[in-house]
Amino acid sequence: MSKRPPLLLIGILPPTPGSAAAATVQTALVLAQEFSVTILVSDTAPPTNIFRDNPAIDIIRTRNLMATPDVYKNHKRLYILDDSYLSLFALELYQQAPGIIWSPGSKLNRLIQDYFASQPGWPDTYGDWLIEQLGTEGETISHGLLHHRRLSTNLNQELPSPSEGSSFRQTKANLISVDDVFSPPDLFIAAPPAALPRGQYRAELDVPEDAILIVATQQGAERKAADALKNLRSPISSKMVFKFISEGEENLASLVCAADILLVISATNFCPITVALGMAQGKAMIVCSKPWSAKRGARNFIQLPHPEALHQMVAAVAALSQDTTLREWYGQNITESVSQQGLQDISGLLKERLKAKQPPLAVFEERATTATADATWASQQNTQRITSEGGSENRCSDHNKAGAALQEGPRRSVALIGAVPPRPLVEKFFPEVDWEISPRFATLDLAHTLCADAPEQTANKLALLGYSTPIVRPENSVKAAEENTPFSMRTSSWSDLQKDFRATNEALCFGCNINGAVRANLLIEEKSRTGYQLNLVFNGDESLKVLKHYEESCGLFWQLDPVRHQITCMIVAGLAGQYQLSLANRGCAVLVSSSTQSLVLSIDQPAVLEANNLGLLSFVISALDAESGAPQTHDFLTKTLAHSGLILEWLNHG
Amino acid sequence: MAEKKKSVGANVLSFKTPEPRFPKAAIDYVDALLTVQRNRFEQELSSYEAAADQQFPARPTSLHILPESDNFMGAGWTNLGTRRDGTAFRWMGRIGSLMIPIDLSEPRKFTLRGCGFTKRRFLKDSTLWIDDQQVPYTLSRRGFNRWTFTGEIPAMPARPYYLLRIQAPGLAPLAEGVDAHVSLAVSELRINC
Repeated sequence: MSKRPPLLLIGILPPTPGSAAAATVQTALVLAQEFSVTILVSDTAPPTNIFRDNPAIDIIRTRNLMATPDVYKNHKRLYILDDSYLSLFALELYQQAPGIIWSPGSKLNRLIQDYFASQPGWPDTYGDWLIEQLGTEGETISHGLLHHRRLSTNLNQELPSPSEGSSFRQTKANLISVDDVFSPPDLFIAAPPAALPRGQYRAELDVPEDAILIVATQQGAERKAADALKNLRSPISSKMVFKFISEGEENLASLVCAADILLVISATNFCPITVALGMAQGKAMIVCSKPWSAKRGARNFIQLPHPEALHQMVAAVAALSQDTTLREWYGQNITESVSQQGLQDISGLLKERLKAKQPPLAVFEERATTATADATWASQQNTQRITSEGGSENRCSDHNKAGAALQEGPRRSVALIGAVPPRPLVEKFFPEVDWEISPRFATLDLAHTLCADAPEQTANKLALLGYSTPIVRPENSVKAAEENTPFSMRTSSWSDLQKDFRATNEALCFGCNINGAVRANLLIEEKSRTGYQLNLVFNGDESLKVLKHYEESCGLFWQLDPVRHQITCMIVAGLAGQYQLSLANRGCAVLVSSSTQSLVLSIDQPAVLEANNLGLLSFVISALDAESGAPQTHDFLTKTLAHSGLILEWLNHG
Repeated sequence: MAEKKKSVGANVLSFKTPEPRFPKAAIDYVDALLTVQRNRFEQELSSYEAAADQQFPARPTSLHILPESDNFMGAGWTNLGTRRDGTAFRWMGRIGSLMIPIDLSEPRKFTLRGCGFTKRRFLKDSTLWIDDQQVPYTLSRRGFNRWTFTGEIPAMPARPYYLLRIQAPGLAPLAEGVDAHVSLAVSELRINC
């Protein structure tokens, strides 16, 4: 094994578009020469093909880090952020484990807004931050937000960038430390080694040596220029070869090396990584006029006023391809300004910064013991609790004992305790139970598991799921001990509860063992030998801005996160074991991330999820573009789910 | 009827306040946003550097461009057409642009010749631009459909090339031949020669 120091690169990978993804790929390639690079992406990141053939670079997800923090204890940490919500996970990780932040764009204001929006104090925290950044104007704007719900999304463009030194001031929320940010405005050169020499790569692309290769990073730009020039049928235009390349590709450096002219007319305010590569290699470039182009030497590029300026783009391509002297002049100019104006190789500086000592990753050890995402941990805890509550019962050995069923009779009110399965299931297997008038009670176990992520909202969530108060606690436990639960909800034992319960004395318990109640889930397991299916529907009224909802018909509790553009789902499915989740319609793709895996779901490719011993399934859904696999916004996600619902099927039958 | 109109208007302009003026809070809010934006513009403008002292590669002082030559490069032109007498030309749409790599450190005389138009008014209503500056011209006509624009391109700041843009006020279908909507047919551009 090599002795290169280990490096954890926390960023975004293609097919996610954007400069952070491209920057992560290229920086990983540069740093892999000196470090043993592991790229960390979020659990909800779409699957990627990049670095599949590169043994030097590993890719892990956040859950891997949380499960085995010791492995990554001594890794150096480099965060690559851009201003979209996709970098939110990195910013949250940075809060716990600071490292060096590198941002290919200078502004992170939109990300900061998203960060505040995803935290409990919104919008007051954001208001405070605005006041800190803007003074009097900030006060007016935050007043507009707090009292009139005016939120300017374009404001993020106008706020000062960190180069002016104010955006990363230590805020009250202690968001980002200025010392960690590494994003000088005149410093953006990264030059990973080109995989193939120029001539060889051109041959591979089937481009003759005397032809002029024009590489465009904006889809469609190369076609427009080619159409306009080919129309003229001049001999020079027949020698031009136009290629489109997506910036996230691994071999970007080789292609830039092979190119004669770079057409980088992206409209974003982030400096495209292709420009950095072109500057390192001294290429003639046509760019779209943006603040970053001024900072990197306006004279080094031919600048277009905007990406749609067709006539100017064609003239620029024509001028550069017709005149070899001019092309060389621009290339030389860039090379000179790189060496003269103090533009430096970012990879060298990053390596310098990374040599400095970083504190070891101690914080995750603490987190690992409380991690909610770790399924094994959760299930272990649950098993322990059940055995401690119910004596020494084991579900398998208890199979025969559970034979006692409800007495037959008319439909009536029966108390349902524990992880109550969806209504259709209960009505099917227990025709005696009148769902409408049967109260449901949660057990302590269930409350712990359901609300592990936000214990302070337990009462709210249980009420949404249709559970009544109080929480049923084990018979033999001491009341005082239960008061120390992280959530302050009244608990009561079933025998105490029964005294006040006039409607019925009968009870069914699911996934738990209560004295005097019929253990029901084993009965269901026995009866549902043929398996069962649930159609998951996401009925939310967009106009009412419903962000969370409980679907009684399928036992699905979903919560839309408009900041992260995903839906968190929790299904009290009732039966332990494996479930298959599939899409009902063609033409769309969603990413399902559970605590153990992230899978792209399409109609031909269902996901298999593992329920814990309470029969509880939890997973996160985010939308992907069916063709490119890039993440989509929550509007797209809700429409996808409306178009094609999800089907859940229990697999452990028969 | 009048009542109905009023209610329609009220729906379209659903302000919270009944009075037509903006409340002070809204004006303050817009003011604050504009101030922040102005601050950003000022910062950005100060970061742009003047590109006046650049030494570009030497460029010719005169130029002769024919539609069939290699240096006829731009957007907005049709394929090459030929008249009966062998003169080549290209029709343009509403905008025809030409890349002209020439030294414009001092004013240069130019002649733009054409051999067709789809409507007579397109000739005198057309405008000529060099980058973003308008170039005045004199129109003269010869024969049935030949036309000439003559004038002087003003001196411009140093650039490696300039964009000459001819803009016609409209389009009309061709009377014969291909089915296309075009304005003027250009057959030659001479600058300082």
